[in-house]
Amino acid sequence: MARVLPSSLTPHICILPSQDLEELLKSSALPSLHHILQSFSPLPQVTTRTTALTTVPHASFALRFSDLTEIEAACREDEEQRATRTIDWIGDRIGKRCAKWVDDFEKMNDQDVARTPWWDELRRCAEGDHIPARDEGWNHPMSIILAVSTTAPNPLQAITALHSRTLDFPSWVDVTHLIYTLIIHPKNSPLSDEEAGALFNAVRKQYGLHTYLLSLELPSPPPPPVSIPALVPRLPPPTISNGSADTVRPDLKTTQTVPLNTLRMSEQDIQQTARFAREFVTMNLVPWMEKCVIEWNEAYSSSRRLPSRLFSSTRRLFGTSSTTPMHAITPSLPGRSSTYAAPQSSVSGSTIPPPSQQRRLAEFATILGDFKLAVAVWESLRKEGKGGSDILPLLIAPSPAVQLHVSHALTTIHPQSAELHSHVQLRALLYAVRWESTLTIGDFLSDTLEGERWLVWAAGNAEEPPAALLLAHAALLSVRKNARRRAALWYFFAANRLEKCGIKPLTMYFLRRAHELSISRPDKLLSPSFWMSENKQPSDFEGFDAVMSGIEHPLGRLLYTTGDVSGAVRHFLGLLRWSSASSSPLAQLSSHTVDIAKDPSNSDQVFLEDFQVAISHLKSVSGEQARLADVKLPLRFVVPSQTCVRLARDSVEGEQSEWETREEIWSSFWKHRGKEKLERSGNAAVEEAFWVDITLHNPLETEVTLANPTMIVESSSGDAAWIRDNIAIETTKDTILYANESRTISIAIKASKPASLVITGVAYDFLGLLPTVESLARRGRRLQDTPQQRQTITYAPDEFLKLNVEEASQELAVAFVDDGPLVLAEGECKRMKLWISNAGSRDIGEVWVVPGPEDQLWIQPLDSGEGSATGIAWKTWRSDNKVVPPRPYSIPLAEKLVAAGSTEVTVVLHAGRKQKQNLSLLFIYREAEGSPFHCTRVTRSYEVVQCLQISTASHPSHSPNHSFSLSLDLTNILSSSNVEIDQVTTISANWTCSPLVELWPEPLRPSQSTRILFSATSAGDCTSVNAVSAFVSRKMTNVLHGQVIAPDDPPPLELLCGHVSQTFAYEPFVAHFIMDARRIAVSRTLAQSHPQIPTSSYPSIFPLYNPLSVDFVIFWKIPSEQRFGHILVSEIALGASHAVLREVLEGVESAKVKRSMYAETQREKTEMLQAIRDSEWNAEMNPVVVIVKDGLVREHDFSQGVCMVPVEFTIRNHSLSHPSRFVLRLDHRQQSSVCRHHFPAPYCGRTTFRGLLAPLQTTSVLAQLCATRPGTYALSGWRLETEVGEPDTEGGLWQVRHRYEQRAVTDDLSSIVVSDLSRL
Amino acid sequence: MSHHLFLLSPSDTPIYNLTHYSTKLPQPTSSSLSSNLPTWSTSAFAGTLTALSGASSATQSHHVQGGAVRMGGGQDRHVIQMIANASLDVIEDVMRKESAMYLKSVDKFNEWTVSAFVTPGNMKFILLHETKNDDGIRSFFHDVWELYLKTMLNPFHTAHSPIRSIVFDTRVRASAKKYL
Repeated sequence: MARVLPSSLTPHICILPSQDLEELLKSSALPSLHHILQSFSPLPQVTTRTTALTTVPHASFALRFSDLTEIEAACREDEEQRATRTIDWIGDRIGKRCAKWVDDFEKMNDQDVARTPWWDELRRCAEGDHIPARDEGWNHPMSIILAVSTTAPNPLQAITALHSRTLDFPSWVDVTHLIYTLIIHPKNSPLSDEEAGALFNAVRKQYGLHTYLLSLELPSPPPPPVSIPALVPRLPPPTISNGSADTVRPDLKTTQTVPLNTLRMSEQDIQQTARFAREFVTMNLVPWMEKCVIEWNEAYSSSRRLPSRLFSSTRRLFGTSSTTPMHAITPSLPGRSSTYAAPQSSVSGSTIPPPSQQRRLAEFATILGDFKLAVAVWESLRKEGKGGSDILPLLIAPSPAVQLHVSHALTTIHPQSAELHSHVQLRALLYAVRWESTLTIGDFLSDTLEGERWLVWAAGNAEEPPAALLLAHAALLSVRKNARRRAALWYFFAANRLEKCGIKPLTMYFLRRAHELSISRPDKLLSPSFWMSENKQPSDFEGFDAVMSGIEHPLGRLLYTTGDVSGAVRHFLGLLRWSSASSSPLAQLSSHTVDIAKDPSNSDQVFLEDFQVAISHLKSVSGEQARLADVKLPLRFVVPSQTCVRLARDSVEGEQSEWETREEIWSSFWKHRGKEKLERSGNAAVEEAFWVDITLHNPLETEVTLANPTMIVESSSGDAAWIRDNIAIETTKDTILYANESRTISIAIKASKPASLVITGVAYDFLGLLPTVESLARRGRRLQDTPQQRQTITYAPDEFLKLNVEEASQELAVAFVDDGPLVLAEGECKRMKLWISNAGSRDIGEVWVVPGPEDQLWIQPLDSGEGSATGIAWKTWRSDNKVVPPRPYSIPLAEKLVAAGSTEVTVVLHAGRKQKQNLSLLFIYREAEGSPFHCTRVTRSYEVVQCLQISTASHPSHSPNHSFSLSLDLTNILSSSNVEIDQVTTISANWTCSPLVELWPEPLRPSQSTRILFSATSAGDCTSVNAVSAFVSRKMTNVLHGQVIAPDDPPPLELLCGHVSQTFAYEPFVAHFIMDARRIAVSRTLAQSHPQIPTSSYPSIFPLYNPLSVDFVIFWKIPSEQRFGHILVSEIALGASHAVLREVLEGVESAKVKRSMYAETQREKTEMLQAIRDSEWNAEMNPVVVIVKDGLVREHDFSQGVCMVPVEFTIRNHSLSHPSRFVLRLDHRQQSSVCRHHFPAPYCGRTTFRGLLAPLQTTSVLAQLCATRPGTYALSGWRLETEVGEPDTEGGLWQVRHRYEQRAVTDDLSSIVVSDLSRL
Repeated sequence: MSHHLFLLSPSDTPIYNLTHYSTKLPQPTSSSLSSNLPTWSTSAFAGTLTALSGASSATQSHHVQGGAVRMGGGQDRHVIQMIANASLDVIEDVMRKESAMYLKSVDKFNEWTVSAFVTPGNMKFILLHETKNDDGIRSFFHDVWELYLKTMLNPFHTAHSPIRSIVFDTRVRASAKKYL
């Protein structure tokens, strides 16, 4: 069974009817003859024979009939012009009908499976091309039927006239055709049946056997119409060039408009005509074709023999000329009347040859189903470059070669230039249609052929409707192949091209399809664990964002131009969701990298402008707002997490964290005293405006206007009407956000009644056109309470900004009386007045002030007068030795502060060391005991300048009377003022310090410095030292072992105070500030050195005073500026200590190592251990100091002999607790290198001294120096070995705790001078 | 002459893109057989000879359709992305058939040829290019793969996080300059 060929590859039969026949048909209400005959095609069950004489049955054998004059006229038209006309015609046909098609088609359920009407239309139009072409012979008439009727006055003459008519074909039309004569004999003919038979015989005799007498009834009232298959649409002839064409074929137009094709013929006539058609094909046409094939095949196979092939290919290689058309000499053609041949060439005037005989052979063989021969001939044609690639895919079995044929076929017709000519487009379209309609859909879409790509290739870059429809059909086929993304692309391309032709309904349909296909995501064969590991849902798909916007934007524009403005508005708005920063990963990338390929025309701006135009138009047209109700902005401008409420009284400066610290201080202070809560300060007062600070961020790359931004507020106490009446919400002016800008705007709200408000959202008009409400909800916390919540991510309900508005019943107003800029000298005590008034309606009975942890403040009690300085210099001072946490101060009130009452409080501020800072005071107040507290904030900034530069030094004393010498250096660094030093007080637990000189009474002038010397003596009582050491070592053990720290206090200390001036008058707040300054200094040091230990546990771990430390307090005064103050210097620790914590640390280090999972924990532990090892409590040093008595000048008469000089070494144990043993070895070789010019000391006699020193004990040894000549003798040649013993060992056994060895320091210049008396 | 590179996660989320403008001249696309012939004969028989040799009708068709929708220079970001997106269909098909990482030219859309590289972790690298340059693209893909692996060593980098590393970007650009 032969494959059914597309109708454009079927024999083309031209009919030349006589005038009388046309009239006859018209009178019988019948269309022209070729239309009638066309209805009988295809014929079923036709059998043909191949050259090998095998029979080929054809299930259907189609024919094409057309009017000869029409074809002749069409052949004269320029091919390119006709092609252009054809394409326009197709576009016109499709454009007219597509709106209905799209409507009908979209109602169908499965759009991907059905055949699309536009493709069918395109195919029929392409197949309907019946005008002979220059380069292929399919449309060249294969047979010409000369038809007459017996109604003619002289039928025989009519036949003769038809036969003698000259064919008006150009030279390139093949004249190989069968001439056939048809005599139609109607019943109402003037000729009887016999006469008709005689006529028939006469014609047969004269014009050959190809004659037929068709007798028809043709009843005069036409019978009811019989429906017949629709005719293939054909290109109407050009109307402008040939005005008469309209009259020639008026019925063509009717076939276009009348959907149902009918024929008004009686049953008998139909049978007669069918018989004629069958006979024409089987008896005449097919045998004639077979005969042609056999003849031509002979010629063809003879040319294929080896010599000729060799010859021709040699010639080809050497490029002499192209092969001559062998068809030019046509020896004998059967059934051909010589009448037709001669005048033909003269008509066209040019000598373009008709298609070659070989090609005709291939075409005839193809039609006859002799595919074996056809394939061979087509192959050889293809190899010679004369076409054939377009037909071969229809004939050979599916294989990869087919695809090559296809692409070659298209390559040969497509020119190299970018522009495609119309006839090329048409030819490509025809090829594509033939392939698509002939191959079975399974073959066509198979992976080897990939037929849908052929359509795309055929479409090329043409921008005409046929190309667009080819792409669309390729897309449809791709969907069937489940290549949905590719289908979307092709639909998009199709729409793109169709849009240029103005066929909007179909363009929109294609865009919608592309959109649907892009939205639907192909199934991915990914493991579920992939999504789990990524912590994402498979539905969180972020594809190529520009794909969607590229489809949606033209769709929106089309909707706008077709009048669906609200749809366009939605589309344009939807496009903004792909804006740069919102959701697209690629867009984020492109904004980050310097991508030169970035869209130069800002797409956001384009989208936004389109949206603006569309919505403005919509508003101007409809005017109603209701239709915009469901239009939602896909963007967010408000950043809820950065939105906050700002109250009027919050508007003081200062970091929020500082205030929080003060509130914490208060809450930890009040925790042990009562249950009363501190009411949050975040309550607004009635009739007092508060502001909502909204942070807006523009994610778009373009400028937007948010018009009339305002707040949406809900209240628990009333409905919307209540809110409208009682709460005034400001509407601010329009906000313009530039591209990617972030900005904070404030919106004021004032409530006239107490309420609890929930601020739910922000409302604004997007671009002043689209009313939008954005929620201010923040996502609640992640819930972790149940296993279910831990496994699937769950969040608490959304949170909103909430605010209570209350009656301002209690309000304290606090202000500094003097509010000028404040510049203080370091350590200055500044008296300031605070004016406190009750601004509320209820009394205030209790006021506290909370300063920061480093602010030193003293509140003057009520009863103390101005000049209450005491002249008593205290000798001792008992300290609880506790690092007390900072605490609030109560402000004494003489009586309750009634409403509008006020009072003044004096506070003294002691300036610290910081350069610039704020004094932030949190005032906490309440009505009476039991009522809750409220708070208010006051802040004042001040600056601190340094006036004195202070340095301290200490060294072991050479004097036997005291252990250490201390020196205090003070320099006035002020530029102009004199500083008076009035008093220096030393404070120490263990050391009694006394000044070695009197205080200089003169003030320190600028840049002048002074030195004050002190001696320090220990009382020798080391109980306090031991007690504190024991406390610290116990606490450190707890800390290092990670045990709970018991909240016990360190042992109290008795502090000894020494004073330089005995007549100094102390202000009452001095003691408070000294303790406070010490606390601040200690806390600061601890926070630096032990960051791992929380501040709150300092009091129970570290004592305030180290018993060995010595503090100086320097009281100064600048009379010219009326400033006074004091500075605490606590840098010195005297005396030796012996690694008190050594045992504890060793115990921790040798303990079994507990492994921790986390490296951080381990690291922290090591850091803590190191910090404790380096702390002052674990200090360790050599307690024994050697002092050589030097500078001695001895006169000696060396004539008397050598001089024996005694040298005294004083050895002192500075340890307060531990005894030491020492060995002093004298050896002049040990002496330091500095004393090169000195003689080494030649010791004689005993050079090794041993001894035991109790704590703080001093001993001296006397060595002999034997000077043999006068000179300077260096005394640095000694070495001391020390063993520190454990005190209080059992049984008095000596246990060595530390060993040391020391020599004289390298720059030791101690020496004695021996001069010779004899020389004098 | 521009190249467009996309890195796609296994779920086809783009995590990196690059547009590279090559300064190299396009290589001649004529087939080897016809280029061996003297010039005077190629024009007349080029079609026949290519058909005879059966060679690269694909390159020809590509050449012919070149300039169909000129979107070089990246003005039409969405068209480039659509093509990359559409090529995923073919890439998935080819992946099923071949086990190689470098899938060579898998698809063609107008003048764009799409080359792909699939890592063992199912990451897809897609390159849109206009001329044939198999070896260069192979080397380029291998470079990008190595750079991607280094990025993946970051424990906070998931398959979906866009690659914003400046270093990665610079190195990919350098590699593109070298090979493309």
